[in-house]
Amino acid sequence: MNAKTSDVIKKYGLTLLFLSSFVVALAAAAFFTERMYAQSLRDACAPVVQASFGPQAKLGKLSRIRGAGIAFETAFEVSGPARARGTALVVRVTGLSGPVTAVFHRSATGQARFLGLVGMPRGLEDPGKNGVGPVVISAWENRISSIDTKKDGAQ
Amino acid sequence: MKKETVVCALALAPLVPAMSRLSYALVLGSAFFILLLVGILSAKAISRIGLRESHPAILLAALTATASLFVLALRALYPLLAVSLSFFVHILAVSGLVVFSVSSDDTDRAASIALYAIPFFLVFAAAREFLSFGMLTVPAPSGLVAIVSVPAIAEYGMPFWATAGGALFLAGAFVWIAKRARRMASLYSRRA
Repeated sequence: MNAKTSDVIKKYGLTLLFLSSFVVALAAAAFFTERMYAQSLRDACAPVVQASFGPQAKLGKLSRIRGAGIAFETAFEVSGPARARGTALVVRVTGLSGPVTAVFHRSATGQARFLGLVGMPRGLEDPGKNGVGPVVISAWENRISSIDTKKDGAQ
Repeated sequence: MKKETVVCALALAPLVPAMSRLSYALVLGSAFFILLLVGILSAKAISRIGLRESHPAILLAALTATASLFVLALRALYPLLAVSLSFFVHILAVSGLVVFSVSSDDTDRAASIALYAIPFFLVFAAAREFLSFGMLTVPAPSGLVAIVSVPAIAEYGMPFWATAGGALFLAGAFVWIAKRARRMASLYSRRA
């Protein structure tokens, strides 16, 4: 092996080392933060779900509606009274005044309903005050209702 | 206006909808600062090791990995803000890449121009939030917490300032004030 070849191998090896170190760092961070993320979100969204379906409604584990796309990657199974059963979706909704975090409920039959905004300061809980009007809400409800759960062989 | 300034402004333009609250500007400003820092450090490391051919690939990987790591940290610390802002943090990685690609031979210059955007974002978002909602918010694990609240503005404030139209109007006003201040400063220095 001449000096030029060994130099090329060294450079490619270092590049590969850099790239693989990013992958390892990301995988480790994802592994350690996932549980904390799910628990914190569940605690934050539970009052909004219970305000609509009563205190018996409980949020279960973090799940995904397959075929729903990346916009609906955060979803919780909802158990409790019959009308509460389904999925609670935590979604980024961009209204006139920027992005906000909203919670929608999707029933077992596929009906979607807006439950409320989460994480807003006191006095700004009303979606209208945050630029999220009825048109935006109904567009998201339609989008959630039309998720094809049969796509990709899901559920 | 110089080429770098125009490209930096265009690269950061997609963030305007998210800059409606101080808390969002604090999160996105720190993300942008970390991305610029990682970009500068990786450029220096690449030139020191002698991996000039791999520069674009490593810079791309470093910026996207940093953005993803930032989102993961955000998910652990401020989960509700992570839902609203993770998309914009990934956009910032693309903005960072554009900033670094403007002048590949003079990385520090482009990054230092972009660094001026951070204090501007903070003032801009604080002004928009205060005028629209009558409050200033900071990030908290439970979402947004108001540190300053003026109920009268909250009740009768003008939500227009938080919209994209209001942002455009306010940005124009900020640019006018900056130009006027610079002109006044140059007049005084000439007289002195």
